[in-house]
Amino acid sequence: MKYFFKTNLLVLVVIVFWGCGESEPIQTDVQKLETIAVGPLFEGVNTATVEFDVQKILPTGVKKEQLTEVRIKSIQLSLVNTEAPTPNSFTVLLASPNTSMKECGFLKEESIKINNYKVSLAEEQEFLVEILQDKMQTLVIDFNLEGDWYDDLSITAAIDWELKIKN
Amino acid sequence: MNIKVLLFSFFLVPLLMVAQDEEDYSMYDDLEYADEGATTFASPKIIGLSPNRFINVAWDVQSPYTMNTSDTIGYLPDASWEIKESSNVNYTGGLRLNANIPVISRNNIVWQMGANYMNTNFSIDDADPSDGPILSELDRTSLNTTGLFTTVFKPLNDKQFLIFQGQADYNGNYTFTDFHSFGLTKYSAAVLWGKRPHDRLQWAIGASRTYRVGELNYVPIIMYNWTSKKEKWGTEILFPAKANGKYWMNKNSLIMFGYELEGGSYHLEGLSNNGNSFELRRGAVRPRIEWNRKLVGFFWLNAQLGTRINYGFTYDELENGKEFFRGFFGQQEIAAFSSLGTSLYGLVGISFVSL
Amino acid sequence: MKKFKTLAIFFVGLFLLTSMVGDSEDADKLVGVWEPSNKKIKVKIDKISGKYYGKIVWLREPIDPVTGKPKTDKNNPDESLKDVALKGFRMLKDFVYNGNGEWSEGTIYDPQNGSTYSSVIKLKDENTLDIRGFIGLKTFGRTDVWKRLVMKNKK
Repeated sequence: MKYFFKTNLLVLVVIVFWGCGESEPIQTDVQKLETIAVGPLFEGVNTATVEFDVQKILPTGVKKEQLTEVRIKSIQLSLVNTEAPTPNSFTVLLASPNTSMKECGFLKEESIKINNYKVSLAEEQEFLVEILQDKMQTLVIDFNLEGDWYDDLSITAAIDWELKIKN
Repeated sequence: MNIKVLLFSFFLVPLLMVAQDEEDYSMYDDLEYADEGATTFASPKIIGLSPNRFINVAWDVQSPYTMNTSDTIGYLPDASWEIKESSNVNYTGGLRLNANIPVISRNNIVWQMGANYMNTNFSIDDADPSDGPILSELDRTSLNTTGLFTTVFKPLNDKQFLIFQGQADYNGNYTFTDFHSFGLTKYSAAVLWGKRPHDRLQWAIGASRTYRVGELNYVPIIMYNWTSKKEKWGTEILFPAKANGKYWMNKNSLIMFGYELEGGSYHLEGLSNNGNSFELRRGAVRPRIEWNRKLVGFFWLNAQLGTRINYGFTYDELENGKEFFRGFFGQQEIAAFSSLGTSLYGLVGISFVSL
Repeated sequence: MKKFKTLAIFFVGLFLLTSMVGDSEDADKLVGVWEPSNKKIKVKIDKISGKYYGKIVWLREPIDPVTGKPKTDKNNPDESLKDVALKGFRMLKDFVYNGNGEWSEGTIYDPQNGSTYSSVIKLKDENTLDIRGFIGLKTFGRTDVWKRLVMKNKK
């Protein structure tokens, strides 16, 4: 009986230590995703999307299911078609098949006016782990066009992730 | 061949569907209805209204006060009376439960059904039956209210609306193993007609049959709910039952300041004889400050701190339990009087709300 | 026997194909521009990665009377998103088609108070939606009628 309790205690200690293991940051390149809004596009709110799998940017041997902490350090947007009318607002969202779509950040009209396409990020980002662990991810960019554009419109998002996995 | 058919059915068709989906809307303000527009009805809410409580559990408690009571010999309403019993009430308080469930909730009608339970326990010093029957009856038992109510909000168009409210309260010092006659149930009702000129204002006028001040009365009602442009300040008034100013500290915290009338008519079994109902007509004004704070999700805390000022604490003997209307000018005899000192009160509750 | 097997598989495939086409067609009936009964906004519902989402594309009063600037999502529970433009805001999210003209598992956001409610959408007829927002149980909710809008020349 004495040994039974001791063994149980040992197992508990091991579990606790294992559970409390420090998360370790992993290095990834900035992920460039090209979203496309299929034209013709008309004045008003339009949407560009792209599906991706975050697994592709993870180091070899690391599985997305191992992710324990995810934050976005920065998102830089750039317009591919420079002749297209410049949108006056952008909202960046992420979604996946088994989670809810969430706002990750947005661009204010004032920063667009000074050609600053660095996205103001949402403070709450806890939802990102679940989204990145899902089988695929969708990046959505809603933008407000001030004029018509009769072609496709591409917006590139360069996402700098801060990723951690359990040791 | 069979595999090809299946592949075609699974993959090709959805792709064809996607290809047909294209953005072809230009100016969103230049659209028209595919058939006809929906009728716009006045909403039962305005911006900045305090949270609507679906379910509320609360505890109410009063500080000690003195209670004086006359003999039970019958008096004219404006008669002077002598103190027969006088004592200190150490504790007054109890549990309050309220559920308000939508039965139909659409843009063209909202019908809600609800139930409420309110318990008031008294702990009275030296409540000896030999000194007089009333204080010992209040000390020995507790007052209960068990009620059912219904509210219908019917918008007539985009601006005007009607509200009907009906309530049946079973009040007395019964216990749940010893009910009194359900024939003593008290019925209240209110009808209002109102307008909602814009998203931050709704007002209404109407009439009610009420026991708010203890005994049966018929009074006009004025509702005035207003929120300032900045959505910080406002009023929530249902005069004369309650009137509050409000201040939203932020989206999760609301301060309200005002008063509420609270009361009812309670059958006291131990003092009822010969088929008559001896009833306590209890009514109080409660000036208070109230703090509503979001806890998590749709659960909110509400805490009130204020004073309970006695409006009426009289007793009527209802012949064969038959209710009567005295109003402000009636001269029907009052069986006994009590006077209560003012006390502080506090209430803490948790609610499941909708905003 | 082999011929019979091939024929059977062909018909099963055909059945699956027609039911999928039917289902997908029905599901996409939600796509379009819709107007709630209060007529204050227009919402465009589109399909993204198999689920349905609705964004505000038009506001009757686009300017905030207090700030004099275009309305933003000032009641967003995340302080950092309070300046997101309301025009373009996704107020319907994650709807999945269940068949029988019903989409569920979604949420509806009320910009007037910053609350997100569970939601279910029912197609009453080709041009009418019943959208119910609720908290926990469907009982604790409210249903609104939304009507389909089309381009003037598309009627």
